[in-house]
Amino acid sequence: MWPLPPLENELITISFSPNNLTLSWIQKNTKTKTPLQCTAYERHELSNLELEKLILFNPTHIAKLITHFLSRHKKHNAFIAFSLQGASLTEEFITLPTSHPKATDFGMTPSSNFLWGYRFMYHNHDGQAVFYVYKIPRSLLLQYKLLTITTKMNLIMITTQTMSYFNAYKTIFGSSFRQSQFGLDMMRHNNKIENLISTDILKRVITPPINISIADEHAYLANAYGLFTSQGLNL
Amino acid sequence: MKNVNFISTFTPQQQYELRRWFIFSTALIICTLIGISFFFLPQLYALYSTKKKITALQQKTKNYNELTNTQIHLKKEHEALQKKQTKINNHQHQPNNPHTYLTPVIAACGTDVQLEHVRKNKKECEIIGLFPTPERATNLIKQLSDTRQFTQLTLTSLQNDTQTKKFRCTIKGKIQ
Repeated sequence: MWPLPPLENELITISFSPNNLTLSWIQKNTKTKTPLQCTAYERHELSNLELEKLILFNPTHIAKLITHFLSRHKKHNAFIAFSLQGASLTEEFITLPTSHPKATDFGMTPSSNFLWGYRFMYHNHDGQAVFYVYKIPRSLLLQYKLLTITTKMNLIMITTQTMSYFNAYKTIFGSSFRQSQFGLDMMRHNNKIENLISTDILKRVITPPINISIADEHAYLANAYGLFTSQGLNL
Repeated sequence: MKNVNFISTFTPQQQYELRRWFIFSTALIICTLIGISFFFLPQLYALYSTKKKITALQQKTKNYNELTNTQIHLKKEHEALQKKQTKINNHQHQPNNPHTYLTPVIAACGTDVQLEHVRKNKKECEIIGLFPTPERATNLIKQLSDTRQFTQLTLTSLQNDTQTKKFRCTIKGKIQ
């Protein structure tokens, strides 16, 4: 209908990481044993400072890459989710003695220039609570919003790569997910959440395109998987 | 754990819901309009066709006012003429209408007799005229007597008019 933008029940995940732009189209899998399949996958190396510290220095080029991907697979009306990772996005794991901290406990100075938040991750061996804290400049967010407006995308989420990995981990374990087990895994891997999802685990949950090797694209595929599952779309 | 999302947008579920509500509302409005039109369209059509007829009739009766005025004017004239005619008829059929006895006198005179006077005093009348011959006067007397409106008509005077070379005759009699 003309006044409503058309909706397409598909999700395209776009990941912005240092020097890389990853686009993927994930669907439910009906052919092989894995629940999901990556129908389309593209990773572009941005080595000419197009994307430096998450700042879009060449939004035209990036918009072109995205629109080409969407045009090639005819997914102009699909839902889009972004994940960000870079120097401009401050991410850290902070340990606090309390599970119910106040904003001041994190040492963040209130400012209208930044958007920040925290999520409880796990309790460590000492019984202290580990929180994931993130902080992003509003001006950077505006850039991505403008990019969305330019490319006329139906953007529904901008999140961090860490949260994508967390969602991926949670979805893989499903009903057997336990915060304590997650905490143990995180401590074992020194809070490097991307290492929690191994290639073998990823192979069991997603089928990549034929020309893509999970081993080579492991981190990016895990991120895309996590973005996809965080939506809970009935696809 | 609540997901991290730097932007606040409509979730896919909300978007689908909006779409459903929009389609439903649009369909409801269209159905309502169709339903209403079922009631009003025939009346609107009747109004349209009536207006069309009115326009056509107005074209036909463009000169109506003019014709009506003409008719009224002519009617008035007709009434006036009727009145005149009635008056004339009444006058004509009056018992003392001189027209009744003047008409036969004039008819009898014809073109050769020049009437000068016609006098009437109650039942007596006097006709003075210029006749070409005395016989013409007696002829007149005979004609008038035949009309039965005149009686006892006699030629009382006969004079020769040298100027016109005719005879001035005076005929006296009584009117019936």
